[in-house]
Amino acid sequence: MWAAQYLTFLKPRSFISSGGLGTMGFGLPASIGAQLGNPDLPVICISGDGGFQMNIQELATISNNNLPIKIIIFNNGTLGMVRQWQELFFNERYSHTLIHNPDFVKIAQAYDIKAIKINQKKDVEKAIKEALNFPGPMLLDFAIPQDENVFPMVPEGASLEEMLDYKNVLKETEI
Amino acid sequence: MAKLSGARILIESLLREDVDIIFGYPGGKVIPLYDELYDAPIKHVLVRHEQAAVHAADGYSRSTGKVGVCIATSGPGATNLVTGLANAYMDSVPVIAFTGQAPTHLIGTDSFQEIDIRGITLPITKHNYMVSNIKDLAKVIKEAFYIARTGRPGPVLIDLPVDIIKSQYDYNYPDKVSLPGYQPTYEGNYMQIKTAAEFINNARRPLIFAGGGVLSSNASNELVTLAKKGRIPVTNSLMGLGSFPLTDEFSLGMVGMHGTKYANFAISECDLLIAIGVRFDDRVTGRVDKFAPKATIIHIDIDPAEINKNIKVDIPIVGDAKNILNKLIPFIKTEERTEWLNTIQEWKKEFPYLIIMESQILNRNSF
Repeated sequence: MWAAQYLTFLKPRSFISSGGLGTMGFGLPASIGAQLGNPDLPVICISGDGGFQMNIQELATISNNNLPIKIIIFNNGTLGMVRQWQELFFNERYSHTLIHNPDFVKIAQAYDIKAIKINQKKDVEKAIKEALNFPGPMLLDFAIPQDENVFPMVPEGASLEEMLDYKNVLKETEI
Repeated sequence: MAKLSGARILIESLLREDVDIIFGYPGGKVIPLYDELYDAPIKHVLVRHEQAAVHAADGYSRSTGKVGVCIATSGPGATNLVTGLANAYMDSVPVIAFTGQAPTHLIGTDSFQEIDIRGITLPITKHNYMVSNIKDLAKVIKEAFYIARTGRPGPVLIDLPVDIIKSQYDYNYPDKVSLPGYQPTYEGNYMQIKTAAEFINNARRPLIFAGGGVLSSNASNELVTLAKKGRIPVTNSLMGLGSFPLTDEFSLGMVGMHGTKYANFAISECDLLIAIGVRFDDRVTGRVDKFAPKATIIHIDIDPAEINKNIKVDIPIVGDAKNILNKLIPFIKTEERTEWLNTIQEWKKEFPYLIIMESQILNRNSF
């Protein structure tokens, strides 16, 4: 969702995402298809930590074919979209949405893929530049806050004008 | 013509369909096929799970506009395709999936790695086939590609009993398909197009809502021309992102559940909604009875089943987006629409996506 919101797409067929079915685990294999179909274009796969693990085995395909895909993981240790609904509509009862992840950098390296972890905002731009300039596949594991939500949001069944945003959910003490 | 094995016929047919890459994972019932692939002039990419094979074919198709192709063996290989086929089906992506199957004399006996994949995927494929006779193989493949890529695109599955792909037959790739029951509409109704143009020219607050259908139709240039000529702002569904440059002053970004505020406001305030290649999904509409309440709605879509499915529309035009837009554009007048466009620009300034305060993010303790 964040990718859909913040990236400025200029050309047709530059944004590939699972729309109607909203399939977790789509991104990594889809990026394989996209890279092989467009060998001269840079291909970036943006994935959450949950979805990434659903087809994590495809790191082997990427590595074996030396596909220069840049894999960006938004690692918040949570199944974020569901967690957001639990926060907003289920009294913050985070039932089975907090996930303890393995070290993605070590896993990527086990597949012979260069990988780095980024914990600080100040290192973000440098990491992305490094990835874009690197001639092979590379994984960037970005640590992001667990409670970063996707806003604005029209709750299910509400009309388009009844959007929620950050102002609706921030509690006094947190500002 | 020399007799070729079914496996070889399949490869030759793929070459005739201009396929240069396929994604797959071998297994018992497709070994004869993989034997042909061993030295065939088609690139085969080995994945590590059949789900990835169909997603890769899907991503390949979305990013190139060509038909994606994947292969899985029978039984668990085939069932591992289900999620990916449903995914391609929901987003109208042209993909061909070949699945291995038990030999014809064992079908129905619960034989090893046998599964009724046609039955399972019937609701999630545009169409599917089992080739029960070698003489049908080439024709089925030609039809399958035709069905996948024409009209509203979608996934097609072809189930291949292993005795079929081992048996021999004269290879003869048909020149034409004959599907009298399948006649997608490409040309929009002329009167509907003229009516739509009239409404567009008279609208004070028109809005274009462009989706995946614009991309499937390769109609992005026509969309841009329409928006610029008519001076009409454009919003996209998730599937439509990329059809209109998001940095353009007329772009309102994405609409719907997680769309921009200004796109959602525009839907609520517009007096004419020009919907192109969209299906009014619930993630976009929110409450259907409060969606675009002030608007007359024009709906351009290649699939007549989408007309009035979720939202009642006023001027439906069934056909190919590129084709219809090319006919529509000459009728469109350039109207200034200053008031509406100024309102849009003000909204864009006042409600950008990112409004959270920086300090708040830094205060969150996450790791």
